[in-house]
Amino acid sequence: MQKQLFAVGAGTVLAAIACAALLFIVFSGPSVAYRLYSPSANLECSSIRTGMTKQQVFVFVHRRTAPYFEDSFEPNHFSFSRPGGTCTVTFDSQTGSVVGSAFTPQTWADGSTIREIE
Amino acid sequence: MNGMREEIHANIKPDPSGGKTDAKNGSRRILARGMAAGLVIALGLIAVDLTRYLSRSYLFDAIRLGMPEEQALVLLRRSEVYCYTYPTTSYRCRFDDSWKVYTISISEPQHIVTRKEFAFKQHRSWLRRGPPWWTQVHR
Repeated sequence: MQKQLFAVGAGTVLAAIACAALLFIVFSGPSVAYRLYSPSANLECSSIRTGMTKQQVFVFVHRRTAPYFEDSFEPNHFSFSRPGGTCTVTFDSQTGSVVGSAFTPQTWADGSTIREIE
Repeated sequence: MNGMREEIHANIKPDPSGGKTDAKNGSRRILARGMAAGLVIALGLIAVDLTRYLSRSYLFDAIRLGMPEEQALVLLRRSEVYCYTYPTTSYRCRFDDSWKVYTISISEPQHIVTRKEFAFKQHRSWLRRGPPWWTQVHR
């Protein structure tokens, strides 16, 4: 009888652990994977060189391996965000080529490098 | 051989209710199969419905910065996403799936996609939701 009770208890605990693990994988898995596998914004930012054309920058951006948290384009600015920071690329208003790029480290309100909303 | 047959016949007990038990078992089997088939079909229909909502990152990826407004709107409408307008120079199209919230901004004067952003949804587990209700003091 005691053995059966122990088996039921242990089974319940194991099932609860399995459920919690499954829920974590299903709901938090994608953000964890994104944090682990998305390329560094700093590295990407440094590979954008002065003198590159807008077209070359767009080709580079569209070759990305993971989506950006945010990427925006204004006539003379282009910026993209990854976990850890934002890269801003400035274009020459006349020639349209890259004048410079700057990386700004960034963490979100809760101190996380991942952008999350409730 | 004949002796064996007799032995087998002796072991088979006649069913007092005749064929009624067989009929009952048959209808139960049909009912069980019907339920299983219904369950499979329902699960299939739910899965089809869910997969449409499960991930919309394909839509987010399909819309590129600098894409003309009309082209972006066609893609969005095809996925039943409708945009709302702000009294500003751009309007936003917001949509979500099971894990992320996506926002596409379209510039009004230029009529092109100028901003794309997404954020992960925070799935707070019950383990992290703070103290249980019975320990909370209501004032």
